Amino acid sequence: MNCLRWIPVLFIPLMTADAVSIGKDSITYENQLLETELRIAETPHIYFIFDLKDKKIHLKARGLVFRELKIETLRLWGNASVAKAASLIKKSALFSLKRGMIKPRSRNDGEQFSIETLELKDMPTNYTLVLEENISISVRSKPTDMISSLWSIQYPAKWYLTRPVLTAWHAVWGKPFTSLEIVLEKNDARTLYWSFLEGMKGIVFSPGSHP
Amino acid sequence: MKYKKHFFKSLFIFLTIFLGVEVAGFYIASRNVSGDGARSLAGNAGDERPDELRTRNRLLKDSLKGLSPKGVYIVIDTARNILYLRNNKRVIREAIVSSGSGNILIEPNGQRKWVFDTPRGEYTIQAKKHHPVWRRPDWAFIEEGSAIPTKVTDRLEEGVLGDYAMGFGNSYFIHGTLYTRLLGRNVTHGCVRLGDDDLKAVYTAADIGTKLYIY
Repeated sequence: MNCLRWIPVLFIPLMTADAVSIGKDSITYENQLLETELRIAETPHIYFIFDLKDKKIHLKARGLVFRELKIETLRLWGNASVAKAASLIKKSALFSLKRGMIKPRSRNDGEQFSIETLELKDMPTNYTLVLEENISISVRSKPTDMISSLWSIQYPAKWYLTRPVLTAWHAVWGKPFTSLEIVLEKNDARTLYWSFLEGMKGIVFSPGSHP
Repeated sequence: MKYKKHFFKSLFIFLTIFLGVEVAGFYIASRNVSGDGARSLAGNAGDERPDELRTRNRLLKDSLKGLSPKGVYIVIDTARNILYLRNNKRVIREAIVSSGSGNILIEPNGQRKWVFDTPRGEYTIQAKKHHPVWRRPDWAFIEEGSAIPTKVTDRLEEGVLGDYAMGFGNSYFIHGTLYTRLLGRNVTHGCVRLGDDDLKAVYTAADIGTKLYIY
């Protein structure tokens, strides 16, 4: 009977091995992230990092953070644990932005000086960013009034109804599918739209979702 | 009654298929999170020891730090129209600027098109000019509806760029402005305009070769 007491001791090497493996996984993951970022940072371009663990979006160049946006709330579907670089394929909003067209003036028409420009306040606050690796990011601004709060009730329902269907659809074609829904402050949502240019590279990572 | 029965039958079939797809979607998603990540990490982790990986991570972090600009450099936030003059990580001056309007100009014959955005990315100060003279490009004449001159001397205009100008390539400059009331707005043809005092400070601090980051 006495020897039964030693049974838990037998599990210690197993538990230690498991802890070492998890620790190693997280170092490997950090290693992958750093390698990916280093490759992007070597180019003379601005890039982004979606850090889903700390709920932050960083705009960076050469490893330096130039702008940090705080993610208010976040929903993740799929696997964002693979530390790969992804480019922004397109930005889509309900109403596309219209750039002002300059009408060449006639020298004598005496037209008044007017300013029609594309500024931060003209940027949308609800839109979708489509990235490579089948990553789709829905960006919304925090509801500020009762109507927008009521309207935002539909989002969780839409999320849980459409994500599985899209996952199944992508699986049929043998592709992974990752979807993110993030809520930002109104101005931050506009800044993100302004700062993200098509073709821009970055990393979306969620260490929490890796095993 | 027959139609009603048909309707409910179709609805039942649709809901069953939909539920099936939903369950499959949930299952695939959960499998991807717990499975693929584990495999990809385990595959790589098997090659090196944790201490070797730690050393490599330190080296990678050092390499990343090594890429950052040293000394004085300029950062321009076109969304907020703010210029930061930085020395290493410290902001030594913050200034309000005007950057590109994003407007489009098309030549009346439709042959050429200009988009007046301030370019984004990493640049270098390539030229510094005291009392700069603006050599007006074709779009400036097209915009005001006048003929494009053939002589270079007819393109030159003094006093519109302020006291200093710093070129960062492709005819883009950081320069002064007569329209100080428009600082903080996106109104330019792609250049970055600064107020007089800030312009002087940036001009003095930045040398040719100084890095410029625009986002």
